[in-house]
Amino acid sequence: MKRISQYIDDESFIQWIFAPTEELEKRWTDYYERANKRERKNIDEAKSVLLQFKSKRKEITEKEKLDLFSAVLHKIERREKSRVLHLFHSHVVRYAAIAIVFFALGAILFYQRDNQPDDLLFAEELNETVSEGDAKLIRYTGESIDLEKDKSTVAYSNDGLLVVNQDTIKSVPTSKAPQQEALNQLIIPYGKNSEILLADGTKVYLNAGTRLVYPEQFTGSKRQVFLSGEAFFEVSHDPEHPFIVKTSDLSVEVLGTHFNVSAYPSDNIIETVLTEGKVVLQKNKSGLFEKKTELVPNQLASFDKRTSESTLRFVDVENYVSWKDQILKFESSDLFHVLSKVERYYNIRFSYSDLPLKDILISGKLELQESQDELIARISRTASVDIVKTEGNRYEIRNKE
Amino acid sequence: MNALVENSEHWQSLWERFIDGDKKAFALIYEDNIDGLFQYGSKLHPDESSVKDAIQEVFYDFYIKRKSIQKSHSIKFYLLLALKRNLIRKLQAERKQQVNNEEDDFYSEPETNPEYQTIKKESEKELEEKIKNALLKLPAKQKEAVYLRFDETLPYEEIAKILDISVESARTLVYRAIKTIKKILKTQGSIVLLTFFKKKQ
Repeated sequence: MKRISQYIDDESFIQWIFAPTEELEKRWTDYYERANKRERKNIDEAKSVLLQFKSKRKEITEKEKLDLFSAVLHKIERREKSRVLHLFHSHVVRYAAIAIVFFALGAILFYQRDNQPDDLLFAEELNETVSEGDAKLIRYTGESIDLEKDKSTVAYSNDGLLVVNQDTIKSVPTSKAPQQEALNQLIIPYGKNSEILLADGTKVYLNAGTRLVYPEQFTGSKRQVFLSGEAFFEVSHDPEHPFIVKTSDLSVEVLGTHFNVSAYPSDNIIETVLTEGKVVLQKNKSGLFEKKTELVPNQLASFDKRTSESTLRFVDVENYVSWKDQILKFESSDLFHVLSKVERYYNIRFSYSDLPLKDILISGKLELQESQDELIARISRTASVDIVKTEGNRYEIRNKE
Repeated sequence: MNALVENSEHWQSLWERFIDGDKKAFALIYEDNIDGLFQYGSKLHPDESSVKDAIQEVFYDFYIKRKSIQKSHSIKFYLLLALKRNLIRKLQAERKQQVNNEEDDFYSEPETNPEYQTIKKESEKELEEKIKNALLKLPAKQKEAVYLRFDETLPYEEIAKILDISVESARTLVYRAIKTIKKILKTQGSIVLLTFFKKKQ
C-alpha cells in the first residue's frame, strides 16, 4: 500500500495525469481496479491534489511550429553555406548550397518521413478505376494471366509456386532479385471478385473494381502493397515487418490484424474498418507535425479526400466486411450508396432522373449469389421503387406508379 | 517527450543521428520538445514573440553546439535551461530600459478544471475559487518548481539546476505547494474527493 505522497512523487503517476498516453492510461486504470478500497482512496486523493496544479496552456499552432522550425533550419543552412563559401570561393557552390537548403527543408517538412519515389508512380496508376474487362494477374515479367472465373483465387505457396484457381501455374523464383521487389498487379473488374494469398501468408479478399499491386516476395523491412478499390486484409502476424497498405491519399500500417479498406477512385471517402488488432493511418502527404490516427477494433475511419480530414466512429463491422462472404449488409444506408455497391458487384449501371435516392434508407442484407433478376426485384420491393431494364446491363429507377 | 521514451533504444539512435548532423533527427527532437518549451517560455515571459525568438535561438545553438553537449541529462533539461537563461537575458535587457519592479515572476495561471464545470455545485465552485487564489499567491519559485516537476516531469536534480538551488530545496518547494493545496482540500468538509473515475464505463 502506497501513501498519497508516494503517488505524488511517482513520475509515471505524474505523467499519467499531466501527459497521459494510452499505455499509461491502461497501466493506471488496471492498477486502480486491482487496488483495495483504502488504496483507491489514496489514489483518488493524490490525483485530485495533482490535478489542481494543471496550469492554463498557451496554444501554439502547427503552422507556427513549422514556421519557427524553418527559421531555425534557414539560419543553420546560412551558416553552413557561408562556411562552404569560405572554403571554395565559388559561385557554383553557392547554388548547390541553395539547392540543398531547398531540398532539406522540403524533404524534412513537407513529405512523409520515408516516402519512396516509386510510390507516387503507383498512386497515379492506381487512380484509374477498373470497371471493364477480364480479371487478370499481370506479373512483374509483363506476362498476363487470365483469371477466367468470376470468383478467382491466387496463391503463393510456401514452396515457391504460383497457384491460380487451384491449378499450379508457375514456379516462382524465391530468392532472386532481393534488392528490387518484383511487383505484380492483380486486376479485378466490376462483376468479379477474388482472393489472394500473398507470399507472407497474408490473405486478401478483393472486391469488384479493385487493383492490388504487391511484390512476389517481401524482401525489405516493410511489407508494402498498393490498393485501389476495396479489399479485406487478414495480415499474417510479423511485428518485425510492418504491413502497409498504400492508397491514393492514405496509408494504413499494421502489424498483424484483420481490416477492410475501401478506396475507390470514384468515391470521395476512403473508409477503413478494423475488425481485429490495431492499425495506424497516415496521410500520404502529411506534414511533420501531423498526428497519425490509430484505430481500435470496430472503429471506422472515414477519410475525406476533399478536406483531407478523418472522422472516427464505432460501427457494426459486419456491415462493412460481409461482402467477402458474398453478402451485402446495410443499416439505414441510403439507396444511392446501396446501388453503387451493387453496380460494382454485378457490373450493372443504374440511372435515375429526379429521384431523391439519398432520402430512401434501407436496412437488411442482400445475398450476392442471387441471380441478377432476383436481386433487382428484391431492391425494388424493399425501396418501393420501380426498376426497369433498359438495355443489356442498364437499369432505370423510377417512382412507383 | 517523456522520460519513458527517452530511455528507449530508439531514442539512443536518434541522439546519435542528431550528433552526426542528421536534420531529420533534429526535426524529431524539435517536434518532441516544442510544446513544452513554448509553455515554459510563456510562463517566464509575457510576450509571445519574445518567447518564439528565444526558442528559435535555443534550437539554433543546440544544433550548432551539439558536439560539445555532455550527455548526462535529458535533452528536455538542456533545452529548458537554455530557454530560461535566454529569456532572463531578454528580461534583464528590457528592465534596464524601463525601470521596472525587480521581482521575478512566473506567470502560471491555474487551469479551470473541466471536471468541475459539469458538476457545478456551489460548494465546489467555491473550493475551486479558493484553490485558484492560493495557487496564484504561491511564490514564483514554488510555481516554477511545481511546473517543472508536474508539467515537464523533470527529476529533482534537474529542477535544482534550472532554479540554481540545492536538490533538497527543490524538493521542499514542491512539497510546500502540495501542502498548501492539500490543506485547502481537507478543510472543505471532511474529504472533498471529486469522482474522477466516475466516467469509466
